[in-house]
Amino acid sequence: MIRRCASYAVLVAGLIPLLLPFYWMALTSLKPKREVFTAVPQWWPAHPAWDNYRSAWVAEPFAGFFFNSIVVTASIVALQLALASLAAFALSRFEFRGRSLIFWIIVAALIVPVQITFIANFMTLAHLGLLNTYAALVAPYAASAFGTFLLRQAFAAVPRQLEDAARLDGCSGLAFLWHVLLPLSRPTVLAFALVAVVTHWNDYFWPLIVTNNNAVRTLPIGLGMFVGQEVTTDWNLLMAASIFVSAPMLLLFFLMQRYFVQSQLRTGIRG
Amino acid sequence: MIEPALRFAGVGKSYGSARILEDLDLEIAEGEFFVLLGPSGCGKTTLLRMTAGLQTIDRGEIYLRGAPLSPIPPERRNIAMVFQDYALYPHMTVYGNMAFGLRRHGHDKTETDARVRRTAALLGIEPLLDRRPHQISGGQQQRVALGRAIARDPVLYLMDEPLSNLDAQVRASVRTEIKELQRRLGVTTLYVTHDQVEAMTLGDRMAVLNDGAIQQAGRPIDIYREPANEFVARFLATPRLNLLEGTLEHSNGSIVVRTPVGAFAWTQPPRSLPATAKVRVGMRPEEIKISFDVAAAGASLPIRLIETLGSQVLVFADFDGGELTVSIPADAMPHDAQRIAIVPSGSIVHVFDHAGGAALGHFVAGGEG
Amino acid sequence: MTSARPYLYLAPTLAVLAAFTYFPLARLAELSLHAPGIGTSLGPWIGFSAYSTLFANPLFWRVAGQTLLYVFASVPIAMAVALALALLLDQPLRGVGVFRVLYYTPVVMPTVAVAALALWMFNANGGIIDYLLHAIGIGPVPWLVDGAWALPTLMIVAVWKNVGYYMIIYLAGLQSLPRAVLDAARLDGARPIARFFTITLPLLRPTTFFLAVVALIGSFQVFDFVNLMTQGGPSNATNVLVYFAYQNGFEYVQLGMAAAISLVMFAMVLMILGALAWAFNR
Ligand SMILES: Nc1ncnc2c1ncn2[C@@H]1O[C@H](COP(=O)(O)OP(=O)(O)OP(=O)(O)O)[C@@H](O)[C@H]1O
Ligand SMILES: [Mg+2]
Repeated sequence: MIRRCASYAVLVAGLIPLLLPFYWMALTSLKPKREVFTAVPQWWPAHPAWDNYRSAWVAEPFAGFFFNSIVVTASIVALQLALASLAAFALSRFEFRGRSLIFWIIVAALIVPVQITFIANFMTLAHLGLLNTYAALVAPYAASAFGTFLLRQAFAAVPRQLEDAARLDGCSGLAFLWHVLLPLSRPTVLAFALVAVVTHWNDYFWPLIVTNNNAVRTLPIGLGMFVGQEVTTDWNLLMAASIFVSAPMLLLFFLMQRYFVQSQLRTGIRG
Repeated sequence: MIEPALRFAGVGKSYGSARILEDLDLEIAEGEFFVLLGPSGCGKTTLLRMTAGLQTIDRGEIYLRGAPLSPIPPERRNIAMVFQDYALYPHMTVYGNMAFGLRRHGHDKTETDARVRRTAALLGIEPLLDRRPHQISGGQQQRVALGRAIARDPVLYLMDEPLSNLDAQVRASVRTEIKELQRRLGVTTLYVTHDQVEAMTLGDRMAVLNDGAIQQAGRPIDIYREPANEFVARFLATPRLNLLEGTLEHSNGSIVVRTPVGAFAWTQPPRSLPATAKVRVGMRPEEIKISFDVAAAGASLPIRLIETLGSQVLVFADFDGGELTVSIPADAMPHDAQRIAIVPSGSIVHVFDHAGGAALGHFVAGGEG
Repeated sequence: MTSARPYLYLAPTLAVLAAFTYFPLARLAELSLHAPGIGTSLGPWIGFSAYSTLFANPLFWRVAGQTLLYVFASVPIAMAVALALALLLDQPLRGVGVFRVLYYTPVVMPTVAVAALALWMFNANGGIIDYLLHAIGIGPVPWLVDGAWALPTLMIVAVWKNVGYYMIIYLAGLQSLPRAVLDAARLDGARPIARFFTITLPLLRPTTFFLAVVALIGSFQVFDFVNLMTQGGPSNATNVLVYFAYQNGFEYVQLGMAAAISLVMFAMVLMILGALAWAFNR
């Protein structure tokens, strides 16, 4: 009983540093400019300025950034799922020379993040004349070592007999992957897809390296430029922009929260 | 009156709306080996975990040497438990597993070492002391789990189907070991199982648990001889209890129990029996006397199947409305038998209430009436 | 039956990894051993002189030290907080599900939005944190403007952002522990604190190892918060290896030097992972 109360006390106390920033962000985004800097902070927007969102939206070409983010994130996730499914299929259901070597080559890629290779990748893409294109944003992420690993584990858990039974039913090769393995591994596929969407929607580093043109910039870069300009003045607009950049992920998270946490558990245990 | 070592008083447990145990009363004497027998899922593990303090008691109380247990957390109850799936510490050696509880209970290093080695010698696991649980076989893990409990000197042992994961041979030998050990150590033991052979062979006393309630408690032989109800009779029969529809016919002081396979004379029935009534009649395969001399007997039954178990033979015979299972010594079985005749005289009969299944009486049948 | 099919299925993944993960490592080595060329071409071979210049640069040592400080201070703190939270959230309490979701929320936030928010909250002019600290008699703290405070401030932001992820991983580890083993420890007389140190923590070892690897690799890459909040300042107090490589490559256009920095950092990551694997598998 005492332990239970103490646990709640600690958990609730922890929510203050956790949630206060969110509240402060939302609050500031609704304050008219003159209420942003006050000697005593106002904890409730006296005159909610919804107009801040419109002003922030047009302060940079956010509509275009939004579109770019959707295209880039969707392309990356689709490619990762396709390539990882194929690779995981090969690694989990076929016997062939070099299988474990190839598996380790793929897994070892996890310790070589783009933050290490970016100079070389930048040079390659520059050499190919691909800077400032969707291709440059997508290509390095088209394959996912992490996704391949996760799907391989999930596919390997499907019993051999099921494959034999499916084969007798006339379902083999890619049809088996599509009709049996992927549906059976739905939780893992979804888990990985969610992680990938969040990662690439939020990615700031790589787009920063290969874009310098509004036509292909993504939301994080747009917001980053906004941060650079507005630092000393319009916090309310910056917070409004931060909210609409984060909103899709927060929305996705709260809609699928059960699944999200479970998926992280899954990827976490297995990873 | 001597306070029992362990006393359950009106103990109840529910998971949500499902009542697992209801108003359970039970007393276990100091030094007694008490076996709780029940089918899978009847709440045996739940009862042990409540005794250990690992699960809360919803109703009632458990008393250990007269003191209520619920205020005491498990780590201070000084109870040792052998878990159904061993629950060995995977990151410790066999030695570490056995030493852990001793150190926690304040024994110093030399004392701990001496006890661990003595227990290991007793169980024949000395060569394994430096191994980890995953490096030894299931039977060996089981001995270690036992050793972990035995090395300590608790006031009570709880054993949760400790033999269930062993193969038949090892099971029989460890069973004997457990019995001998408990005799020697004299520590009160509550042992649960769904295996009637374990219950019969191990228990000083036993209880049969079903539907969240104690069906019967007592010495194994008494329960075997006089099962309190149909369930108990059925549970203590191998391979199965023959259950027949029957009627009671009163004739000058004695009673005849009439069944589709014959009539059994009950020479000294209890006084309180109902006048005439439909009853259910239970007979275990080994309790039925038969003869192959069909011509001499009135009625006979065709044999459908014979199963040889080694020293015993199971004979399955058809009768009007069902099948009878009889067990006889193998050397009493003629190889060309086609039919059997039931010999009422000397057969053992259990009579149950037709509606409730409660036992009305048990008897050795006299000659045909 | 071996056929070409598995190789065919693996080809796209291997091609992408080769082009953007493994080939670049070789390319970095090549770049670091040549003088800068024109455009994307290479200049003449200069051997290891980029490395000797780098190792002779006191700023490099400072940046490397700051990176290590950042990693080895923020990761253990975040992991410890995460483990504590996971232990609390592993209990059968009413509403734990809600707490789990809330504590995880920062993980899905874009780093840019978190950086923008942190800039505002830690701002010397009107920042809410200084105001709150003032209310309990502390401060004002020169969060991002003082060389001694700037790096710790970034660590606070990173811990806030990452702790939910580590918490979930620990929770997964806790929930997969064999319950009966913990029960056995209780009957063996181990009190809660002893139980944590003798049973729970040792059994969580694989989780801790996995998490330490993920967290180390992740926090070595720290760049976003530095670029957005401090640009490595004040006077390089928050400069870290990735940012240093980025500066050399794109601000000073010293691609060879940038490549050398990246490779040195990679070597550091490998050494630390090796040490970690050794420590955990002893
Ligand atoms: N945590 C729980 N929540 C809900 N029901 C439970 C829980 N634990 C056990 N039960 C139910 O309680 C009943 C008794 O379980 P218990 O484990 O005590 O059975 P048991 O007699 O030990 O069975 P077995 O012989 O298979 O080990 C079962 O029907 C089981 O489904
Ligand atoms: Mg059980």
